[in-house]
Amino acid sequence: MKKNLFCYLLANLLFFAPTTKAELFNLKEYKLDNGLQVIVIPNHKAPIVKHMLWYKVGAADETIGKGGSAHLLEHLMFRGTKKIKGQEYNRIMEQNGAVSNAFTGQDSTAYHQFIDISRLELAMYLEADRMQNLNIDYESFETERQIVFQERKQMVENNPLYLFTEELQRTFWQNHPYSRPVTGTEEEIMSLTKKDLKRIYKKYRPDNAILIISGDIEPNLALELAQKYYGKIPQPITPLPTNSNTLPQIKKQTHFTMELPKLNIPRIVRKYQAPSFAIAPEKIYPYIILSKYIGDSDISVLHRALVEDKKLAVNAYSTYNFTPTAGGYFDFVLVPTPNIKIDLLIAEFDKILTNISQSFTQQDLEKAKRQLLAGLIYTRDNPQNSAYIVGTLARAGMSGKDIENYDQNIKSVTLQQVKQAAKELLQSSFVEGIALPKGENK
Amino acid sequence: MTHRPLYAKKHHPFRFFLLFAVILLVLWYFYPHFTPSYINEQSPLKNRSFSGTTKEITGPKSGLKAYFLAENSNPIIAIHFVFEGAGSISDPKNMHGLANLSAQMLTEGTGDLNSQHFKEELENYAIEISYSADLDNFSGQMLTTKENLARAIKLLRSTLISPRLEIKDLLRIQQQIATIIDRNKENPNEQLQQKNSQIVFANHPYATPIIGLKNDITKITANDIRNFITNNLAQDNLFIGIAGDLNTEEAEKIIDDIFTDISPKNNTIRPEVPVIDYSTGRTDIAEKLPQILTKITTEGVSRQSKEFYPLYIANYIFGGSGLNSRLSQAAREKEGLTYHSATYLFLLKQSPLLCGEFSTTPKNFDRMQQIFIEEWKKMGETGVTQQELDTAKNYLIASFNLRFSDILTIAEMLSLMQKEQLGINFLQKRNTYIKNINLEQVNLAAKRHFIPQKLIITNYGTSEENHE
Repeated sequence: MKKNLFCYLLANLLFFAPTTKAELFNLKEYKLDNGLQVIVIPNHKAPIVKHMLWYKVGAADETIGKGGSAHLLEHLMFRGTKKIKGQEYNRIMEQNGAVSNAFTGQDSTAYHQFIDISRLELAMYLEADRMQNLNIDYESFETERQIVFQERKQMVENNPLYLFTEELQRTFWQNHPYSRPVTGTEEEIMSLTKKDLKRIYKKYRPDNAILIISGDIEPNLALELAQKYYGKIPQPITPLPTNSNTLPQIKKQTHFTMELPKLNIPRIVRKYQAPSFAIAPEKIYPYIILSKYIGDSDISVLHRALVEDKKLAVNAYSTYNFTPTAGGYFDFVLVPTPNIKIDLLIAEFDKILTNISQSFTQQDLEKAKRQLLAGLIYTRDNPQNSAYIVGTLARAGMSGKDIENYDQNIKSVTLQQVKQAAKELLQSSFVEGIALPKGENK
Repeated sequence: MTHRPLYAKKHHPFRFFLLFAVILLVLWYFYPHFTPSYINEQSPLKNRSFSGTTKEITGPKSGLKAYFLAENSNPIIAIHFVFEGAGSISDPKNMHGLANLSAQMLTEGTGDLNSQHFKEELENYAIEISYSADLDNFSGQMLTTKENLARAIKLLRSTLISPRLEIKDLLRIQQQIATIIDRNKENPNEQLQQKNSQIVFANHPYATPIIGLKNDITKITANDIRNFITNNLAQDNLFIGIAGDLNTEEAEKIIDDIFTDISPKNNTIRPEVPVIDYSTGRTDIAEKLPQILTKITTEGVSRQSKEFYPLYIANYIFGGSGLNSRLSQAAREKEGLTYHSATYLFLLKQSPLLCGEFSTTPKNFDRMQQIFIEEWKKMGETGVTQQELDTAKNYLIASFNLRFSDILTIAEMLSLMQKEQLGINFLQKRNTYIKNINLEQVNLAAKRHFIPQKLIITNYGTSEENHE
């Protein structure tokens, strides 16, 4: 809907600096008989609640050539069911003071309402209804198709870097569905049919979804209400379709340079393959510490060396994302200081990376742990953020216990494990893209 | 009397029909129906309200006043404070970007701590301190755990009293800002924003972006920043909101600890009120882009104006309520012309505005403009219906509690309440303010502000090539 792509990016950003804490959320996790996973995060600051339903279905579930169907389906979920016709859903939400929206990512589509606690049941009723009773009429389909086309133009193509970003994804994920944009391309959007959407909608089922209720409610009551509204939705007898997409073997190193009109500032992005929780859960914690140490703030090694000391970059940071189910990634972004030689910056950057496993000390480890854990308490402050964080982690495959044990898992990482992670990272395949203003030479 | 066997008793067919109808009615009664109000009414979750009350508190030494709200569900504390008038509007000529640069420099090392040590201290103890400038004001905020409160207060105080402003840090931040200015040129929205501001505000400081001008920024010295702090960050233009796990006494002490030693009086440059020509009409700026981006501007009202709530509601109905707004309904939901279209009140101190924005591909452009102007005209001429007003009030009242989602937002709301003189009971009274607005007031505001001849329209991305 309104901010789907942005929200997804935001959700991702949260994980570049992971922030959860043991027993911090005080969450409760349940499973209904029909397979629906329910997570309740009590927060009694104000009489409000974030209600989120995450389907484990996203752009990665689309058939080749049908890019954008998961996203267009998300839009049509606001266009009427057999019971709640046309745009009645939006009107009811407005009448009840809800901020209601949705977003589509590669692995998931999430529908959410931020609403006064007194109206929670209403939101649950409507969400349960559209899980089963969606009605796509021709006119709505055509109009929403136009809207998502405009959305791609506005949110993606208006950014002069978009060709670069999409090329980076393509080169990195190769024949894996992650290589394709969530919005679909213009041609794909225009060729979608109702049938394409129904293919995706079939995967909207209770045993393929996670319900998050975060706010002023006791877990027992939340469970009772989940049972009341979602519990009666039957679990389909057909088995859940499994996603057997495995990561491609990409070349050890791939480099590309792209000159872009309307670009003013060069960017260098290096994207490494890295463990994801779904594939190697035990491996992510050393990587989280590594990311903290190397590049997730102004006091990281990269920033100190490249920005403060050598003055080769105006900005340098890293981000680690372990949430994609098919495989994680570790990104480095460098923004060169004007008029310096980009090769010089990259050489210096490589030198730092190569030294990490040697230079990383016990003291660095303690410091990184301390900084990762210090601010965890804030994550429970805002019920909206808690719902996003817990939902994303649960979708990534974490159990409630995994989420609550985050700080224990961070605390138990050893020096050797981080050094090992640094070595592994350097041996992993990567794609390096350089975006240059048109007509500018490296 | 003849005896007839029971089975021979003849029933009137109407009785079957009646029985059938009764059964149907009973079934219908028990069949689960969808009525939103029924679902809300039967819910055990109804009738809860936000219980926090705002207090005005005073620092015993400094005599400075703050708005305070105790909230003990989480051991964290937030402070938000505003120096009124010290935003980019106060930037001297040839020093555009001074307020913004100063905001960045305040957290680049203080007292004995150099930039890296200062930031490490913040990270180690999970203390967040940041400053920012907008067009009108200069704001600061702090978030800390109760455990680290004393340290956080000390650090916050030091950013105002003893920032280091080292030359190497200044050069680095100047370079970073220069890069952001270059990067903003890549962003069509940012470009439109700047071009539109120039058209609307002409020579007034509001026309210059908050981030400033590259040539000016590189010339600003540490001394200029020191002067900025002394002249602008003072006790007499300061408004403070404090929220979180504190009692009144603790909160009052905090006021003194942070603000006792800043300048008592401000010497802020306050430029003349801008003269805006609302009859400027439409400007097309050629540029080849995937979409043409539009901004519209007309006269708004200040937060203190009697017309504030009527216009607030009128705007909500016209373009402020997302997909349900008149604008979105006409342009997006019916015709699929645009992804995003919205209008909003821009509460600038010197010239409050009513603004709007949308974007669409060149093929849809003429139709989109037409719809916007038609809807605008209709709004001014015929106003809104009672039903639209009721829906708007429902939303604005039912969504009020959502603003208490996090502690920093609450602190910010408190400093705003103090600054805009909304009253200490504002949180309790606000929904009544909304309830009391009637149709006549909203339609009068609509009539006074929704006038097509008074729209300044700036389109960015029109080009011959685009119109092929």
